[in-house]
Amino acid sequence: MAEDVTWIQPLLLMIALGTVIMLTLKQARELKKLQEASNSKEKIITLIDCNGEKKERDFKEGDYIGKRVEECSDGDGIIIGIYAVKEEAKDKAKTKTSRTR
Amino acid sequence: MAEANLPDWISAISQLAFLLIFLMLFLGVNQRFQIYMWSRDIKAKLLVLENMARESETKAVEYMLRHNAKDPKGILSKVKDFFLIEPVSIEPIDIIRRMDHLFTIRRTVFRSEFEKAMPEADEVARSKAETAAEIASALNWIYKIVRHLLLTGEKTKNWILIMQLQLIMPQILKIAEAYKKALNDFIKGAPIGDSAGPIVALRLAGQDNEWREIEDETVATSTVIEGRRVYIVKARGPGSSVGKPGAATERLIEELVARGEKPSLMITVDAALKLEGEETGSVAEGVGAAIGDPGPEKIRFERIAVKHGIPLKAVIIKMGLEEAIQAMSKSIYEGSLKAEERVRQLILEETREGDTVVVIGVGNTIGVGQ
Repeated sequence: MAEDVTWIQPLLLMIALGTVIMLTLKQARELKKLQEASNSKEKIITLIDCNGEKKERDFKEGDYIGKRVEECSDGDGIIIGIYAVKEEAKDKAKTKTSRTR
Repeated sequence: MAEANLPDWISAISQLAFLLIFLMLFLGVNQRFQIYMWSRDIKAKLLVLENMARESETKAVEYMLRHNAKDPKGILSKVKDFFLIEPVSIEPIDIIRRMDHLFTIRRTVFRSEFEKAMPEADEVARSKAETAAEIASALNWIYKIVRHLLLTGEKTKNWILIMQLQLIMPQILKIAEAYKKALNDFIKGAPIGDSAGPIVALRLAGQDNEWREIEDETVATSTVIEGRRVYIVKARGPGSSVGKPGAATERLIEELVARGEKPSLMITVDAALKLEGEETGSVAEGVGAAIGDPGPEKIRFERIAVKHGIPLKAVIIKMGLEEAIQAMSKSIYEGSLKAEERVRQLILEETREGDTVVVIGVGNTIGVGQ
């Protein structure tokens, strides 16, 4: 009868140890998630209106909506939009396009 | 008497241990253990908050140094500890004027401090530095408040306080993360979600329009849309500023009324907080002044509209709190295009040819010129 009880003790200890490890891992995972979220990359795009034709390029410091820029083949263009896109999403879109092709 | 063997000892000790644990449950040891676990979790997250606060301070100082600022650490420390005591609200008479007075003083103090510290920098760079310092200060404040609550909870053994703090920590971290990212976006000078209002104003005005400064850091222009004279107000860009849209609109309307050109419609366009589940960049229309201001600017819209009996309409572009202070997303940009269409539609539906309309693009105009 006594022999039946002995294996419960290490089992309880194992459960307690497992719980502590799980809690620690959970906390570490949460912190890692936070770190990853802060490192998620975004790309800022500048949208230029070249006499009706829209042209996109990477945002440069000094760009602002309403600014005239000399970046169009047929003269001056004007910045009509600046917005951020997630690089991850863009990569996925690229993969999708290449697959379609 | 028979000698006890090992299994008997183990059984006796485990029974004793369970008895002790059972007694401890009544003595609150389980709660103390729970508090310890919560505190440990909060401390780990507090460390993340501290790092965010320090990093943002470093970034703000670096930005100021790039523009040859004198004693950037000194100015940052001043901004960090600067406070504004809210006016007495138990006596509400003239509270708006008192509030406005205090906000104006705060704005003037900040501006003059940055003018003194960054004499070689232009207005745009100074406004960005000012916002960067304010964001660093906000992050530092979040860190200090969380630390205060944790230490108070531990000191007074207030497990409810610690539990509440632990439960709200993910939300606090999310807000802090949004501020940290916003700092980078402000330094770059890209439009933020809150710039949706000024974008609509600029798009309605069109290019090459003459803008005049009508109020402190606030500009106005006029254009013609389908035979209606439309006056447009926004903060002066492309620096980081919200201007004084209420005061500017009040002045503009008084000028218009004085020359017999009473507006038939006033439309405020602003970014507004969406509810969870709502689509970012969706546009809605309503009545009233769309402006997230503590009072002084908003009340001016309402008072001037009431004084001259002008219908006051609002068009909002919905977004989350984080989206409002971070670089504008494509969906918000597209939302601002939809909002422009909605404003044009409102003008056509609610006014006739020859009428005068005032449209105000409310929000921070960073990255949006004129």
